Amino acid sequence: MLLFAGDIYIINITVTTMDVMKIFCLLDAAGKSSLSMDLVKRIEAVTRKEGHSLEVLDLYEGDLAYCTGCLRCWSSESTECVTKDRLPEIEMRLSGCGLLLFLVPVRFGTFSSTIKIAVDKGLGNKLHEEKPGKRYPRLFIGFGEDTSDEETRCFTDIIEKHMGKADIVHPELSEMPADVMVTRSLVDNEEICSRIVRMYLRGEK
Amino acid sequence: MKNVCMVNGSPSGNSATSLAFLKDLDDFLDGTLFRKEYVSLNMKAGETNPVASMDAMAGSDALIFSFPLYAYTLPAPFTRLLEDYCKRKESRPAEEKAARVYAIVNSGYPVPDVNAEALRVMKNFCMRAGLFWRFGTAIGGGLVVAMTRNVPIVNRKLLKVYGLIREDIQGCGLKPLSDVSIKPVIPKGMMIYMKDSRWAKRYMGRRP
Repeated sequence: MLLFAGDIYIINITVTTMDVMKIFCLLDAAGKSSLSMDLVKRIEAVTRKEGHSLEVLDLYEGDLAYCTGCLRCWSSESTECVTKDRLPEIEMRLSGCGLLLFLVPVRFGTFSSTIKIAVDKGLGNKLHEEKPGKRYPRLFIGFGEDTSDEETRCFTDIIEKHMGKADIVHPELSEMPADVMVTRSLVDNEEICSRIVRMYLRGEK
Repeated sequence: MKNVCMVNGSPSGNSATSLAFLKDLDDFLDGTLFRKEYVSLNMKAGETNPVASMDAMAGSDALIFSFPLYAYTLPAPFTRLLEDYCKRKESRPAEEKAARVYAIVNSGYPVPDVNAEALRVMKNFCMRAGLFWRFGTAIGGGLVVAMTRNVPIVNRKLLKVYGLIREDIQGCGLKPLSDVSIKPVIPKGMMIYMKDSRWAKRYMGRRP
């Protein structure tokens, strides 16, 4: 069944032989390219084939307010952000998600500004709070036809630091694993899709 | 007379630690030799940065960026500023100068190396925008370094960085320069202890 709801489209296939995993894909609406659209189509196809559900959300500039670094989410008892934007609504949609995908236009070896707001605000961290002890994978897929080798390496290194590789105490982040892949061509898209199937949809190593 | 554009890349605006470093550097740059201009971030998500900010950046001989580390890289509004600058550059390729670029990145983590990727991002930005990357300064324990920046001996590395920037802008040096790391005076173990203390959370919660 294919549903259209504004900027959201949901592909939902019911299967009886296995658990349906909800995959949530966050995409920078302004940074879309033919490469990212091809990747989304391919991910939709493999998700459908493997019997899971996929929700794609186009994140527009202005949907989320910038993090001002007030640290109230860290210093007060409530972890809620004090700025009013679409974050609570998006987090509600994430509930029960088994895989969170970020499709990120790579800018100078880092996230595009729109996706970076979501990262700064810890979008997806609540998935871990839903069921403490259970791991919710996050996958960052960077894309850009003209992304240089150094930009690709830099993007990868930034995500790996998120996984706790930095020489610091940051347990809350290392408990939430994140993987990273970068595509620069349609061939890369194909390889990424087969890795998603193996690693996440079938649980193979 | 050299035109120097100081970019405060912190979303905290006027209360930012990043701005404190820029203001100290400002004192090092003689007003008769340097024409200084400040640029701050547009904090309205979804809006482009003002033309005046872009003009100030484009017309400068040296760009000095000071920003905090957010999630191991640049804060979102600062990334947006760089994106806007690159877009402008693409639309007016003949107009821009190849300004010299210096970056000062500070993080709350005690280890300055955690800023390494943010400096790499700045170098990549310079490659894209046709700017002349000079060197970066990675500051660990930014708040502590800022609070002790007027303490003699403790602040010698910071003063050395300011001096290096001044000399490099004046001398128009071409020799590649290495990045500088600055650690806080408080040891790493104590910084980690302080991070989790209730009084630290109370203090940070009161910040504007």
